[in-house]
Amino acid sequence: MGYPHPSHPKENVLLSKHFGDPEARSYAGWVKHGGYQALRKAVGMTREAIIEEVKASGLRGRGGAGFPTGLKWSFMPKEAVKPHYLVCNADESEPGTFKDREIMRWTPHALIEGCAISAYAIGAERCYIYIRGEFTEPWKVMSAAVEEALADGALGDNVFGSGKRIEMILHRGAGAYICGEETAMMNSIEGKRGNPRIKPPFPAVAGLFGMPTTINNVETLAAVPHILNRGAAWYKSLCLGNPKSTGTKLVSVCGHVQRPGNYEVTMGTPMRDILYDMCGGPPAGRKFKAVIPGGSSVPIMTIQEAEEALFDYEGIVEKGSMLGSAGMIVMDDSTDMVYQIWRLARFYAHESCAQCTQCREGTAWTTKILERILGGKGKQDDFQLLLDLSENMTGKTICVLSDSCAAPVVSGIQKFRSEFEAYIAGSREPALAAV
Amino acid sequence: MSGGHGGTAGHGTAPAEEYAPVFTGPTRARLEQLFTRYPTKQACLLPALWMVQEARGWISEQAIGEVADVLELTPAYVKGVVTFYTMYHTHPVGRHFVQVCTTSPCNICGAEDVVKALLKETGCGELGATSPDGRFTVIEVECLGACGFPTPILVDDDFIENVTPEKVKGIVQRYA
Repeated sequence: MGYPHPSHPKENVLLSKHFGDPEARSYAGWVKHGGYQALRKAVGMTREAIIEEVKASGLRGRGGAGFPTGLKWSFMPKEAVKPHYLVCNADESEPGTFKDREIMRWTPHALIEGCAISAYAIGAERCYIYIRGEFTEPWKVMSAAVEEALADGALGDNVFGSGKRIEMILHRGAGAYICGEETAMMNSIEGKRGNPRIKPPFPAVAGLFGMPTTINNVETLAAVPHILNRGAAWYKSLCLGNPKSTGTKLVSVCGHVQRPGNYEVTMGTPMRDILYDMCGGPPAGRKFKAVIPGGSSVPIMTIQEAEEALFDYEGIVEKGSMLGSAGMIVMDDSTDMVYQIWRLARFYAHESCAQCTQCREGTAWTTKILERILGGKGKQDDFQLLLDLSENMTGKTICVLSDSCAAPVVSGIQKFRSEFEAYIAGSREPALAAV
Repeated sequence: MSGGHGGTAGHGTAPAEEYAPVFTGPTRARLEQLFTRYPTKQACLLPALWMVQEARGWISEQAIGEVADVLELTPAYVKGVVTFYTMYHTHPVGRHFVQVCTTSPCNICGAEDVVKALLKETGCGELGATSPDGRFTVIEVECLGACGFPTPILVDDDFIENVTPEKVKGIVQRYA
């Protein structure tokens, strides 16, 4: 569902409060909504005080990994002997996820303000915002917003007269899922192929251009002004489940639901409420079958698992998957699970940067074996072959792209094995031409 | 992208011997401006390639040579980068470049039918091919990041959401 639309009573709109309001896009409009108060406050605080506040809020990375944001910032050197950099990850490409796009389209200044505060907190005078190449509209909106912020002194050589310098540069991607991985993103900004780097060194030690760097997701950064305005204790109190998961989370829901779209919920909201109340349940005459809760890179949940889960970092792990980027892909009983798992494997095979053998070969062979099964030529041995491949693709590569390919395959075989069996036994018509 | 760029017809096909540099006049000035935003010239590579594609519609061997020149890199290095990223065209494409998302979230909502309708309506016939009138090239792409609005397509820089096979004809007519 696009914006504007009224929020559901079970939502808790914080980041998405002004989605759909064209006035909120402009600098003046944003200031009217209380924008840039947090930045004015921040430049009067010490770097350490801001980091402590964010640490105390419990904010964790919204891009997928869920790493505590304040802790990440505290890894940056105390003294800026070399230039420090902030990189904002706006390369939103995880299948099922479309929340950062809405933040940039509707509330660009929320992101700019969050970036400016974070840059100051980590001792960076320059922030690169890496926007995926396909996001043409967010790019235009963000470009205009940066110009406005600069003109009004929210950015530039003397931020709100504080003497602090914060420069914001938009960098356009050019079509590569892997550039959403933080070290690949740094290579991409440096004008290189988007190959992830071996860690260590970690970005806080040697990141962009070899300098201390912090990389944060759009949604994470957009939450920062709210924490400074209303305090860490308030943010921490936004919690219905586990105290380790605090704040609100934008959930992108897509697939087979009555009302797909973005919803913002307090951490710990029952997933059932999202699926049935906010999204209106499955299309008429259908039943839910499976949910991939955190973007395509996390294990598939059966609908039973999903209905019992609380929507936060721990709640979903408890039910066998991960919160990830909170891009929820919902599938009803009309879905051919084998076909969709093959389609996901094809995605990872296409997006592999091909540095690591396990990934380059593993994603390609996984795709081919699934194609063989869908073509009616599968064998019983293919189960073990796929699982062996997946094992070799998990925890053995520079980044986690191949782990992400293995996740839906392994969970798919575990939970929907009979659908694979039907193709192998020939009791189901081949969905693809035999290979 | 899965479709690849197989087209041969299209705009921007300047013969090799007539190659006119891209980075002159205002474009050169824009590049100089870019140099101030990054600590190395190499970091200007992605933006410089975008400028070439904006000006010429695709990135030719000669353009790769020119970019290498202005950024003090080797053509081989630049080519390595160009071919890594799927949005840079290394062949001429139709006047309008159509990218259709067919990744799982859109796939389960009928994206493959949108592809079929687009191939038929544009006259492209197959993915990656340019229509005989030179108007369109259609490719499948992986996730466009608008999964709640299936099927999203990108026609040049126009992001169009909620495309169904029924809407394809009207969309195609909007692009001359």
